[in-house]
Amino acid sequence: MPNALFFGIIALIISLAITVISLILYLEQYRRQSKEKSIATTFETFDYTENKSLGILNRAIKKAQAIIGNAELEGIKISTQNRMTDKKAEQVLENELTLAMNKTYSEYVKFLEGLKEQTNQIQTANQEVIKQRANIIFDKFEQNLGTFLTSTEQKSITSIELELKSARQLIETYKTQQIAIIDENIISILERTLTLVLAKKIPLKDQVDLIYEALNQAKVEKFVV
Amino acid sequence: MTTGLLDIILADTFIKSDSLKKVVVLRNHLVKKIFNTSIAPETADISEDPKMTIWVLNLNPALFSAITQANVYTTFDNLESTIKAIEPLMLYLPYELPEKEVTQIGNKLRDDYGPHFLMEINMDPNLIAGCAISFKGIYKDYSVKYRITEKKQAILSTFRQYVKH
Repeated sequence: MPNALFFGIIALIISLAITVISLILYLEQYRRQSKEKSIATTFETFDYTENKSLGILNRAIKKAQAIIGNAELEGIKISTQNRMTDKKAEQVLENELTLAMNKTYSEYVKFLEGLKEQTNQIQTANQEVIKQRANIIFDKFEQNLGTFLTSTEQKSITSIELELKSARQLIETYKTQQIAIIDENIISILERTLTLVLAKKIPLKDQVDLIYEALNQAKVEKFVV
Repeated sequence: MTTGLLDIILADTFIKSDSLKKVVVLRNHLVKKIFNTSIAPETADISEDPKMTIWVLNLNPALFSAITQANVYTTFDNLESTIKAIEPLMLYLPYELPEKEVTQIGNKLRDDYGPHFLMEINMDPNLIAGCAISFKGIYKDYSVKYRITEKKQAILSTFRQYVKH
């Protein structure tokens, strides 16, 4: 609004200046025309007209200056008014702004408090949920650990038993083999002893009797057909 | 004729290999006698074994009257093949028997299985005592060693009991 007024005043001043300049030009043109029409006419008419024109011009200039002065005064007044209006508006705005800021601040504080309260509630709820989840996890972990330990214990016991069983079997096998070897040794020693002893101790008659016994047994068994 | 000669050869011979040796010695002797009538065969030419020589010399020449130049070889070939066809009883002994005992065993076998039954004696010291016999590829062990093997468990249990006490 102050800017429009300022531009209006400027326009007015410019229009006045243009009016004065056009007037001057018109008079100059009239003068030339008058001159051209009748130079022969009298210098008095020219002086009269010249003086009248100058007077008109002076009056126009004075009026223009007065108008300009008024316009300037008006302009200054308006600018002063504008400044005052601006200051008032500024103050009003400042007041309104302060009020709005205070209001906004209070609302913001309220909002923050509400947010804080909400956050606390959510935090509390989350903590509860986390606590519950943690309890569930720990319970499951305890169960799984117990199951795992039990199964591991079973597997260990089973494998140890298997190892013991295979070791016992191995020992038994070794024992059986060693006993068989010992038995073979006993028999072979016995045979060797009998071979050495009987060859010297059995009389020929007994030896022949053994042969007869064998041949009789073969006959009974019908070995020779 | 073969049967007569067979009886002569197997009369006191019970071992098949000895019988075949006798056949060879007798054939050689008769061949020399038949084909070299001008020269009397010397005792040393009959056999390196003095017993064999004595046996040949003690034979009655009348027994070989039917043998001529024409049939000497065929006769003895037949005799040899007859003896080879006889399946002998293989007797495995842990020691060598004297001739007398071999004769006793041979006579027993002929009493049990026929007059032309033969045997072969082999040595097997592992038998300890007694004998094992084999006939037509079948082996049967009647030795002391076999009896020990048969009674192995009883012997071992007795042994263990003896060790315990």
